[in-house]
Amino acid sequence: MSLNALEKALWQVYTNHDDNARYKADPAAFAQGFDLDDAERKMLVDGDALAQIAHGANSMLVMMVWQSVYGLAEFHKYFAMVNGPDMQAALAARKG
Amino acid sequence: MAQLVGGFLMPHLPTIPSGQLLEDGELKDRVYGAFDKITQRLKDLEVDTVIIIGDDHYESFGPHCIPTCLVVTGDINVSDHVELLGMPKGLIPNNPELAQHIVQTGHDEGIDWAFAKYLGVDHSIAVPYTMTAKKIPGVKVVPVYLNDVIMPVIRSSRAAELGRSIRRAIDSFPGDERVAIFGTGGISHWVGGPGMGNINEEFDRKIMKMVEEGDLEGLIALPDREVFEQAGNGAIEIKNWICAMAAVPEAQGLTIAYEPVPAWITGCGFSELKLAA
Repeated sequence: MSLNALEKALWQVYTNHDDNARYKADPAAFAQGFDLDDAERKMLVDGDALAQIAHGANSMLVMMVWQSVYGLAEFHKYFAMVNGPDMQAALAARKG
Repeated sequence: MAQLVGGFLMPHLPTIPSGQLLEDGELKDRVYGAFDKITQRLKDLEVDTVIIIGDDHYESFGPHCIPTCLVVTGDINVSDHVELLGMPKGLIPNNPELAQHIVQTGHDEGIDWAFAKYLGVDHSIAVPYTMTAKKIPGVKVVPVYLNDVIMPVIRSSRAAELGRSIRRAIDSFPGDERVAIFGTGGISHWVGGPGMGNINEEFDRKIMKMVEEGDLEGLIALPDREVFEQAGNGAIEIKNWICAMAAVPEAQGLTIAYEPVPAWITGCGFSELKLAA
C-alpha cells in the first residue's frame, strides 16, 4: 500500500498551482510521478473521491482537491456523492 | 510581567469573512454580532496580543511534515488558499518575542514545541484574526497550531498541558503586555466525508454547557472516537478550546452565542472565558 504517496499526489494538486494545472490537463501523465499501486493510480487518474476516501486518504484533503479541480459552484455534487449510496458501497467494499 | 486578561472560543470557518453560501441575513447578523462582541471585549480589556490556537487543514503543512504542536515565532503571512477566500495578502502583525518565550518556556518544561520562523497561516488563524483583532489597530498575534486533523491527532490531555505552559510563559514574560487567548474551530461538523452537512446540536450544546461549567476535565475525558462519531471529524477541534481553557482555569465560561449554521455545515459556538476584573 502506498497511501502516503497518494496523499502526496493529492496534496500537490491541492497546494501547487502548476501541479494542479498538470493534473487537470493530463491526470495519467501527472500520476506517473508517484509510486502508486494500480488501484491507487486509477483512483487518482479518475478523480474518484469516494475510492480515495475508502482507501484511507484524508477526507478533508480529498474534498479540497475535488474543489480545486471542479470549483465551488459544483460543490453540491461532492456533497451528494459522499452522502450517497456509492460512498457506503465503497466503504463496505474496503472493509470486506 | 505580562498578563493574561481573557480568553475566547469561536469558530474559524473559511467562509465566515465573505459570508459566502449563507443567505439567511438574520443568522449572518447573529454570527457576525458574536464576533463583534468579542472585538468589543478585546477593546475593553485593552489587549495588545492575541494567542490564536488553531489547527492546520492540510494546507500550510502536508504529508511532508505534520507537527503535533507548533508556534509561529516569525513573520505571519496568509496561505494562498486564504487569499482565494478573499482575505487580503500581507503580513499579520506578530509578537516574535512572546512567541519565542512560549517556545523556550515549553522547552524548559519538557515540551518540544515545533516552531516556524515564518508561515503562511490557514483560515484557522486568519479568520478569527480578521473577524476580531484586525479591527483594533496595533494588536499582534501569536499563532499556535495543534494537529486536530491528521491521525494520530494530539491527545486532549496534551492540549491542556500546552495551554498551562502557555499561561506560565505569559506570566513570566517581561513587560506589561496584555494578552488574550483564542481557542478556535468546531463545534460539530463533518468535513469531506460521509455525514457532511450534519450538525449535532445536542452535542454542541453539551460542549457549550461544559465550557460554562468550566468542566475542563470532562472535555479532556471525551474519547476522540466518541467525538468523531457523534459530531464529526471537525469537532475534534475542541482540542483547541481545551488548550485555551487550560490557560485560564480560573475563568468563568460565558456563552456569547450558539448558532447551528446549515449553510456552513457547522454548529458555531462562541464563548468568553472571563476573568474577574
